[in-house]
Amino acid sequence: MKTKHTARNITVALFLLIAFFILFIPTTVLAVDDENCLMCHKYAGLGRYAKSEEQKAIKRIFYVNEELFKASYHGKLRCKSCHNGVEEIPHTDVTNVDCATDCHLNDPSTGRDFSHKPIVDDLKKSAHGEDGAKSENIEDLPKCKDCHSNKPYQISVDKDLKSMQFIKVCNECHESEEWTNRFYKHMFYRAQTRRPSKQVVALCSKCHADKEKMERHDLEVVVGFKDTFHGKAIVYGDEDVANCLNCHASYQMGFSPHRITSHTESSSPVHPNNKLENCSQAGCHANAQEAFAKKGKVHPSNVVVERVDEGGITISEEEQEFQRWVLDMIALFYKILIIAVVGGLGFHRLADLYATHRERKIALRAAKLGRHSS
Amino acid sequence: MHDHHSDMHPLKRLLIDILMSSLFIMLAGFALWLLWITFFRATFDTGLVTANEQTELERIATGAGVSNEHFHNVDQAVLEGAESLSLCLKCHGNYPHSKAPDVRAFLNAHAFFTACEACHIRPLDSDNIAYRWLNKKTGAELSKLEGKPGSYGAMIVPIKIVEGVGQRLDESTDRAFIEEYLGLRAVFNADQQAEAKVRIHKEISQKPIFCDECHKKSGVLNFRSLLYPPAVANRLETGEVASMITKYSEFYLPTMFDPASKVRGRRNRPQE
Repeated sequence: MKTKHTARNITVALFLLIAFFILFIPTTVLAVDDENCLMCHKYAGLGRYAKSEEQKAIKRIFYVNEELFKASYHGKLRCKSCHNGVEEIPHTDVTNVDCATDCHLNDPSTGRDFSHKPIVDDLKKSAHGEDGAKSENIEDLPKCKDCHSNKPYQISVDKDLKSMQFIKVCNECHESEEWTNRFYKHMFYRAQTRRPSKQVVALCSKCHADKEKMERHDLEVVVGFKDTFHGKAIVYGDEDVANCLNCHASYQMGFSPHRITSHTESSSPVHPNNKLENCSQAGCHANAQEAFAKKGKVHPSNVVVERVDEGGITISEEEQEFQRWVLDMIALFYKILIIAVVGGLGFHRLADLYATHRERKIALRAAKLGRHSS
Repeated sequence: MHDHHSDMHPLKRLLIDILMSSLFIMLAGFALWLLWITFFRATFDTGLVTANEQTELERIATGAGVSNEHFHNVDQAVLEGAESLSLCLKCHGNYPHSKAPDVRAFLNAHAFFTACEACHIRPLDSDNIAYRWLNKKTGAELSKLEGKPGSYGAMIVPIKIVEGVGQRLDESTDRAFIEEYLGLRAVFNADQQAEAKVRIHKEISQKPIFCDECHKKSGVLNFRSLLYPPAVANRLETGEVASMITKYSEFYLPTMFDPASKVRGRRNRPQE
């Protein structure tokens, strides 16, 4: 009987001990890299070269900066939430990350597991997706990672008094400061910051300015945008002018970058029939007229000579060569003109300064001589 | 003819001179600016701009010094790479290990903070070798480890002590020859290259010092004299790092230097 009691007491004590540990271990300890991936992945040099299918060397970097990761969009996820099959070392069993899997994070808007699947499905149907693309070269089509990286929320809460006060208000009801902090960053970062236009243009240009790639897809290569008003303003940091996405995937017209369609589709915002509505979006050319929308070229191409013209007549190779030569000569003429005019002005100023100096010297000498003679 | 300048009040003349000079400076500035926007202005290429005195997060916020090419963001530590004066890296690069699929990434991780010679020169029993953290730029010995693991701005360097004088083993005695070779290798044919390489690598051991020769008690490296706190030193010698290597050695390492295993893949390798 006594033994039975002792056994029960030990069981209860053990249970209490375990309960104590579960309840009182700080939550941060549980949240920190419990898979211990950082034991190796914290080293900056963890990486190697691999060969691509085309036998090109690709640098594979396996390093993860813990601080940056925790501050990132996915900072609350465990490594294995995205990287399936990393049970063995080396991780030869690992599969490619599939952004359409369920994240096992609760989506507060639906109460269900959060997933990027709807967006992945949209992309598939879009001009950039396997189902929506007109070309059969599907290996060129952009994947999630070609446009997105796991950036940290680029918003500083600790240095901003307003933000700190706001979070304090949140914490009146919501207990976890870490949670409110992250939620605040998510909302306000998204509300305040879009991808800078310069980066949008650079991103789209990676493919759409690649002549070979565009030829593979029978698409016109875009090179003239940087010479337009929109392009120049963007180069100098203006965020109020239209970048690629504002016209091609206008949210106001029910599009998103993930639902982009070909300009030949009647629903596309850049289809000739929709251009007027597109240009006159709120905040843009509110009073745009039909002629403005239809005739204006948003990215005239200086290789337009390479295209088949509207009448269906191909311009000959020699003709193209000549047109390119003319364009180059005009550019060269203006460069020389600028250098000659500005350089000439500078030279004139220098010469004038020298002349003044010399005249003064002569005058002084003359004055001295005058004093002597008198 | 009487020059009007000589009639002027000296102060007035000074004022005119100042005005004229500043006009010239403004014009010269304008000319330079025009030249810049014509030939050197910003483009859409959002290349990397390095910036100092910012935290990693601030750097990312300004888009400087951090590459978005990598999904998980690559920071300064990676951009700087192995960043040493080592001549080895000129040919072998920042990620020099590629032959052994099972361990190449681990070895490359070490290459960021360990001189090649620390593993690739196997000292004789009679040699008196000390391993020390030396600053990558100045060569000064560290007195404590500061920074993220492995990123201390320093490398573990083997130093051979002869009659009380230390000689860095990562500084080749044949530096002039190697530098000359680097300039000429493009015009060398395969045989000439091979001949030069024999001389360049004459000090390199056939069999490098391997993981489990350091990550054990009383191994090649004394982690305590390498400034690691006792707890970290224990982990490196007998704790999680060492135990991973032990498991790893048993299951995977026997095939490491077997070139055929690369072709066969892991499925055919000896299992537990």
